[in-house]
Amino acid sequence: MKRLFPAPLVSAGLFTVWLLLHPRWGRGHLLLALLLGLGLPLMLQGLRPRRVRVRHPITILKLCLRVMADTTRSNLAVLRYLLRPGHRPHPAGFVEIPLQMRDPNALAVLAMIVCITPGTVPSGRKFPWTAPC
Amino acid sequence: MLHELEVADAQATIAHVKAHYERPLMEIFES
Repeated sequence: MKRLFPAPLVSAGLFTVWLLLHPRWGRGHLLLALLLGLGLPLMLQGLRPRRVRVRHPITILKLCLRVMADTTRSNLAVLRYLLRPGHRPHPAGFVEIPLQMRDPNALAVLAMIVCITPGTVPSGRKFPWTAPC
Repeated sequence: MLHELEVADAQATIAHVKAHYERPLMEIFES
C-alpha cells in the first residue's frame, strides 16, 4: 500500500486542488485529478526529503532569532551600499567554508539561510548545496 | 563556497558560519 501511495496526504491534496481549479467537474477532470494524485507522488518520491525528527526546540528558536538578526543586519548593509555606492571599505569575494555536517536536510536549511541573507549566495561545486538562489 | 558582498576577514566569516549556523544545525539534525 505504501508503495502505491508513498505520500497519501500529497495525493489527496493534488486531487482536491486539481478539482478546485476547475469550476465544472467532468469525467475527464476526475480522471486527470486521479492520475495526478497517484502519479506525481510516485514519480517524485526520490526527491522527497528524509523524515525529520524535531529535536532541540530551544536550539531551533535560537537559530531562528539568529537568522532574523543576521538578515536584518545584512539588509541594512545592502541599503548602506545602495545609498552610498562609492563607499565600500572591503571588496566582494568568495569564501570557502569547510563544512562538517552531511545531513541533506541540514545542508538544505543552511542553503536557504544563505539565500535569504542579502549580499550572500552559496556557490561552487564542492558542496551539495549549490542550487542557485 | 560562499559569495559575500563584503569580505573583511574570511576567517571571521568561516567562524561565524560554523558557530552560528553549522553547529546548531548539526545539533538539530545530526545529534
